[in-house]
Parts: sequence; structure tokens; C-alpha cells
Amino acid sequence: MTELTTLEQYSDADGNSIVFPGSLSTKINIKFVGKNNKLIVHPKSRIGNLTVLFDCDNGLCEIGQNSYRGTIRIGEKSHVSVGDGVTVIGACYISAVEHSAVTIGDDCMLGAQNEIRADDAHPIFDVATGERINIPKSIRIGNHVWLSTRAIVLGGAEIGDGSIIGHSSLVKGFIPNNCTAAGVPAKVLRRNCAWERPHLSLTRPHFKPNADAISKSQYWRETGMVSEGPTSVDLANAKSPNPDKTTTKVKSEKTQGEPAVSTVRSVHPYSSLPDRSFWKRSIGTRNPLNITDLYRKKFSISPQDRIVTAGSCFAQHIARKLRASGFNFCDYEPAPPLFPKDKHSQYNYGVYSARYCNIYTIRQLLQTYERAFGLRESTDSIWHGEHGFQDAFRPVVEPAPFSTEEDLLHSRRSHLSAVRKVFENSDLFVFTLGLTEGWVSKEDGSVYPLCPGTVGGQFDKDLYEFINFGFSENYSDMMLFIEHLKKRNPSVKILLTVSPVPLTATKADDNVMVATSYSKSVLRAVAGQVASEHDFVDYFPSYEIISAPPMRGMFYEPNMRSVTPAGVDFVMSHFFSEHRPVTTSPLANVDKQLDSRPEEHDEVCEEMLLDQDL
Amino acid sequence: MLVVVGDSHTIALRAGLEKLKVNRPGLLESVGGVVAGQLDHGYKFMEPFYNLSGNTIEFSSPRAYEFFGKIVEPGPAYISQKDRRRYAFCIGFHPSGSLLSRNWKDHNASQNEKGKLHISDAAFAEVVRNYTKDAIRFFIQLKCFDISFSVVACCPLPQSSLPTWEAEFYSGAEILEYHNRFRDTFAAELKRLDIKVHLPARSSYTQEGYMREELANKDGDYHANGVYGEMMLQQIIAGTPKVKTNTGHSSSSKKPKGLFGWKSLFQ
Repeated sequence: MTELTTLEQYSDADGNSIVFPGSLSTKINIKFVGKNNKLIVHPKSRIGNLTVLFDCDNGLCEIGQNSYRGTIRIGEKSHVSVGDGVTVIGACYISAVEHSAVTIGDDCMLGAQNEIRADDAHPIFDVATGERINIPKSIRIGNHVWLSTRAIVLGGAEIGDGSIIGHSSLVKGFIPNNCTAAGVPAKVLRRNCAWERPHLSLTRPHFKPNADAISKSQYWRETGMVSEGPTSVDLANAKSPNPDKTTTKVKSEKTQGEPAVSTVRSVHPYSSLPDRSFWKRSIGTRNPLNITDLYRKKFSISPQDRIVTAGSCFAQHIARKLRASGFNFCDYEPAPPLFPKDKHSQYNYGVYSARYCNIYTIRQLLQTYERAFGLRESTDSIWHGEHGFQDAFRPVVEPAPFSTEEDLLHSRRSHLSAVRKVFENSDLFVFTLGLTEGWVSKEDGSVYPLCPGTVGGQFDKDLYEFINFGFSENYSDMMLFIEHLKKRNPSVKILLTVSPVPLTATKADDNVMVATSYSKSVLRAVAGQVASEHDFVDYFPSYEIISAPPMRGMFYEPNMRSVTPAGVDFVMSHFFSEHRPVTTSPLANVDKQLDSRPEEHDEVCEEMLLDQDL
Repeated sequence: MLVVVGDSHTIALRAGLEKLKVNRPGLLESVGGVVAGQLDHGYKFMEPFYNLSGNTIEFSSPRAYEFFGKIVEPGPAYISQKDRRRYAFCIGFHPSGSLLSRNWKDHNASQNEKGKLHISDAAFAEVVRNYTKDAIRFFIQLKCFDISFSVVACCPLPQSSLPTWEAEFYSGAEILEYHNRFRDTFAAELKRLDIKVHLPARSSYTQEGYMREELANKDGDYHANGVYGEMMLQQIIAGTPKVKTNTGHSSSSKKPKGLFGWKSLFQ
């Protein structure tokens, strides 16, 4: 356990971290008991008297630009978010454990001794069945909500923007926006009300008979009129196949003497959309680890389907996870039975479905296909160096160059035979798009995986040129590849992903981060376009899952380039939520053992060799 | 004294020794006498087969320990850092079970076969290195002890032995090619480690590369007979430093390389 009494930038070997550029030590107490917890505090926060307890693993706490004070307890994979402009009079207690989340919007005013707890702290069970009956539920408190002194908010509560919760009230359900609610449990006492911050006696004018005495905030709305469409509670009722349920909801609201919510809500194209269509509901107010529904499969993958993979280095993770999960991952160029296991990845055995090494660009994929089926001959395909011979299209397929040209040619023939099987004998081709930048032969347009002169060959500006493939070139190449592939293998399906791994280096004039953005954007657009045009092509958002803003870069290694094993697991958890793994396969167990080797977690990234040279 | 021990291919050398005792006793005297015998099956040397304790090496299997003791009697049944006996080990050269057909169902055992997956020279060397790692470790340990020794290759493959290897998945030519490729790769690895190797004489081969059948122990066997053993033993003795006196001390003038110098090979 680590206990800190100063709020400042921090990270440890267990993956716990604090993101806060300043240094505050006034009654600060932060405890990390588990691993991979993260506290993010806005640089301009005025924090004092703050206790944050990360009891378990993978917790996330975000405190906006405010003056929060109190205790926050965060359990396993749980998330607490306190928005900007929140004020707290006396110590507030927040608790979120067991995958739950507490979200407090912006500009909320908390009184003294408020408790906001998604959980009950201790488990309660049904005596007959032993089932847990008090599972924590997430809490959502909207913007500009006023919790009066000693108000308590329990799990599953949702309070709309602009509402007021009375003194010592206990909120356990849904309170719409711009309401005053009070009691135990809290009930809506009045609708269509708004509150403002100016104190009655401390702020002039000292007599405020109507709204003319203050300036109105943005939260003056009629109850039921929300800024982003219906709430999830409304949608749950609207979608309910049981009309009685909907009626009940309306009745219960009518008993309070107010019109039903649905009667005042405007109807527009967004009204009927699910939560996943709204940023705030599906992303913005959720613990990123609990974000769901990011991917919906276009077609099923059966345990018998023969899956082959290719692409940039991130594709190696996908191949490994598919194999470990019992899917029928096919390797048409496996290692000999007697080949030492710990050398497999060095020799590119088992990394993909054939030993083509990383295929970074779509043009490279297309030409690999063409080469396998005799549609392309390249003049500059063997690099002869001091230590032997390198295949220009797989320069690092083995740790050292081939000893003889004959050895190389044997290997190439054997490899291309395996590549033909990859394309002809597969049911699903998984391809990870990596780069748009490449180096090509001026003579015949052959594209090389790596710039000549970096890991083999010699650079000659008269022979080679840099190219940054744009959308139309990538799109055309992909369409041509698909056309070729479908001719050979009409029933094959394709799953496209974009690698979230940034470029190691760019030859474009831009900064490498800008060049990465261009490259990934183009590839993402191509993948999306192709997937939208063909029902046999699906797109899996591994790029978004790792690199999108809600993930805050948490799945990158400190170099902000390599993806952590946890990130790979997270990506694949989204994949497996749609394509259920075949865990009963005996092969899966074997491969799980293989996966336990440390080496198996390291991808073979030839592009990183560029960095060694620079 | 020259001690010739190892796997089942030592039996031919033992038979050859008996012939030399009659035919060329002086040659045996030139190295202070020769003893020879099999310690264990070949595959036993493809797994950990010795114990290192302080400055001594003992064969770990009871069978090898016992046989070694009998062969070198009345000398110590272990190899120590002060050991001045000269050794020729017939260990590691026979591909043994790796030669079995099932290991070559999808891959070319040789450079020349087509239709199956190719294994590059470097990858093949990894296979051999991995398969013989315990033997290599043993030899490196002997180098650390500054023991005077050489390694004796097994006999070439007689054509009549091909059925032994269950040629379901590969041809006779491929079996032969694999056998020889294994031998050459292992020999190169030993050479890289500065270890002296005795390879079969060119005269023991047929034009096709098999062993001449008259040198085989019996039809279908992949071991050689005493005629081959006598031939090979003469070659081993010719490559062994001669004794200057009858003290039994080696005439080797090499300086010890020390444990540390060889340790790096393990890392």
C-alpha cells in the first residue's frame, strides 16, 4: 500500500498514478492499495482536506476545476468523476466500488455532510438463494444540482440538471431536471424551478423578490426539457414491451400533480436513439473501463471458421489472442516441431498465418498477394550484404541474413506457397492497417516494408522514393485486393482494424504526431468506406478503443507508442463480447501456456528498428 | 590414456579397439593406452546427463555412471579439473529420434526437397542447437575444466537402415540429407566452439552418400561394425596428442581458459 500526503504528479511500479502538475499538501491523504489506479485533478483545482482511497485495482478518479473536499472511496474498476465548478461546504463522502461509477456534473453545489454512495459498503445476500441483493449501481448527478446539507444519494439514483435536493433527504431513484425533491425517500415536490448561487444575505441585493434580482444561469429549463434528448430512464420505459410499466411511470408522476414527462418533451430524430448514440451518456459520464457497445458484429465467426491474420505489429496481438481463445487460427507456415519455442518470434514463426512479417501498407498487402500468385515480379528483391542475403520484402524474417542466395530463394518459394494457402483456404481474413507511408522502387513500383538502407540493402535515391499513400490510393488498393481475393476465395469474409500504434518515424515533413494522425485518419476512413460498401467486410474499432480521448492514453506504455498487455486485453474484450471465445478448445490451453512466455507479449515491430538508427 | 565413451556408436569403436590391440598395439601405446565402451543410449545424451559438483563431473544416470567407472577402472569414475586422461566422446552426432518421419511431415528435412516448408540454414541450426543443447553444455563444461577431448561423429547412414525411420512422410534421399545436414550443422557448431571433431572418412561413403554396406553392423542397422570402428579409432588416435613419457600426463600445452571465459557461452 502507498499512502501519499502531497497531491502532486506521481506514478509507481504498480501502475498507480496521479496527474496533477502542481503540489498541494493541505490535509491530503491518498492511498493506493491496489494497482493501475489513476487520480486526475484539474491543474486549477483548489483542493484541501481531500482523502482518496483506491482500495482495489483499475480505479479512476477525476476531479475537475473545483474546490472539492471530503473523502472519495474507489473500488475495483470503478470511477468517480467530479465536474468543473463544483463547490462543497463541508466534507462530502463519495463511494463507488465493484465496477460502479459516480458522476457529478459541472457547477453543482454540495452542502455539508453529503453522502453519494453507489454501494452499501457491505454485502447483503438472499438467505434462500445466496444471491447478492445489493449490487452497487452507478449514480449520475447532472449539472448545476444542489444537494442540501446531509442529503444522501444512493446507488442507481439519477438527478437531472438544475434540481434541488432538500435537507437530510435520501435520493434513491430518478429525479428529473429542474425539480425540488425532498424527503426519505426524496419525492418531487415542485417542478419547473431553477436555483442560483448568489447568497441571500451575503450577496446584493439583499432582497431578491424575483429573477430580475439575479443573472440567470444556463440551467433555466422546464422540467422534462433536456439538452441532449431523453434520459436512459425514459428510454427504458419507452422501449418497454409492457405497456403497464410505462403507464405506471406516468401514473406515479401524475400522482404528484404534475404532467407526465413525455408530454412536454419535444420529438426530433435524436429522441429515439439509444444511449450509444450520445457521447455524454455512453462515453462522457462513464468509467472508460466500463464503456460498452463499442462494436457490433456484422457477421458471426464460428469455431470452425479458418481465421488468418496479417498486418502491422498490432495484428500480432490479435492473432495471439484469437489463438489463445480457441478460435481456429490457421498457421500455414508453422515452425518445425523440433524448433525451439523461445525462438519462434525471432524467426517470425506463429506471428501471423504465414511468415510475411509485418505488412504495414495496403499496397504491400496487395503486392504480397500478387507475388504469391505470380502476378508480380520485382527486380530488386534480394539484398546482398556483408553478412549474407536478405529478402527485400521480409528483411528481418530471421535474426540474421540467409547464408546463401539459394537458401533465401528456397525460403521465399516455400513462403509464397504458404501465402497462397492463406488466401485460398481461409474463411476470415483479419487485416490490421498500419501505415500510409512507404518506400517504393522507382523502377517497378515494388513497395518495401522498411526503407532500404535501414535494416538491409543500401539506400539510393535514384532507385527508391518515399510515398505517402492518400485515401484514393489506399482505397483503390484495398478494393483491388478484395477483388483478387474474392476471385480465389468467394466465401471469404474480411475483418479490418486500424493499428493504434503511432509511427516510429515519418519521412513526411510533418511532426511525427501530426503524420500519425494523418496516416491513421486515412486508414480509418478507408476501412470504414470499404466496410460500408460490402456486407462481408467488417470494421473492428481497435484504434478507437485504445487511442480515443476517454482512454486518456492509459493503454500506452510510457513511450506513448507501444500498447500495454492490459490494452490488448481490453481491445479483445470488446471483440470477444461480440464473438464469443471458444474456451473449451484443447488447443486454447496449449496456446495459453505459450502465451505465458514473456516473449509472447512482445510484438515483432520491424518499424522500431528505424528508431535504433536515428 | 585415451578414453572413448558415448552412445551406441561407441560399440563399433570398442570392436575396432579389439582389432587394433591385435593389429597395431604400438599405436595404442602412443597415447598411453585406449579404453572404450558405451555409456548409455544416444537419446539419453539429448537430455541432462551429467552432474557438476565443485570441480568434478559425474554422469547422472546410474547406468552411465557405472559403465564409466568400469571402463576407466582403476581411475576415478568422474571427470575432474585435474583429469589428465584424454577423451573422445561419441555424443550428440546421431539425430536419434529427431530423424523420425513424423517430425518432417510438413517441413523439408533437407535443402533439396520440394513441396514442403523450407527451413533455412539458420533455423535448421537452431533445431540442431536445441536438440543437442545438453551435449553442447557438457562439452563447454569440459573446456572450462581444460580437459583434453574431441568429439566423434557417428557413422554415416547405411541405406539398409532407412525403414527404421518410418519413412511415411519423407523419402530416403531426404532422410539421408537430413542425417548429413544434422551432422554438418552440429560439427560446425562444435567447430565454432573450438572443439575438435572426428568426421567419418570419405572412404566410408558410397557415391550416393550412404555408408558402404560392408561397414554396417548388420542389415537394417544404422550402426557400424568393427571394421569401421578400427578405421575411425585410428583416425581418433592420430588426432590425439601423444604421450611423452609413461606418466599418463597429457602433453597438451594449452593454458586453461578458466570458467569465466566460457561462462559467457551460456548467457
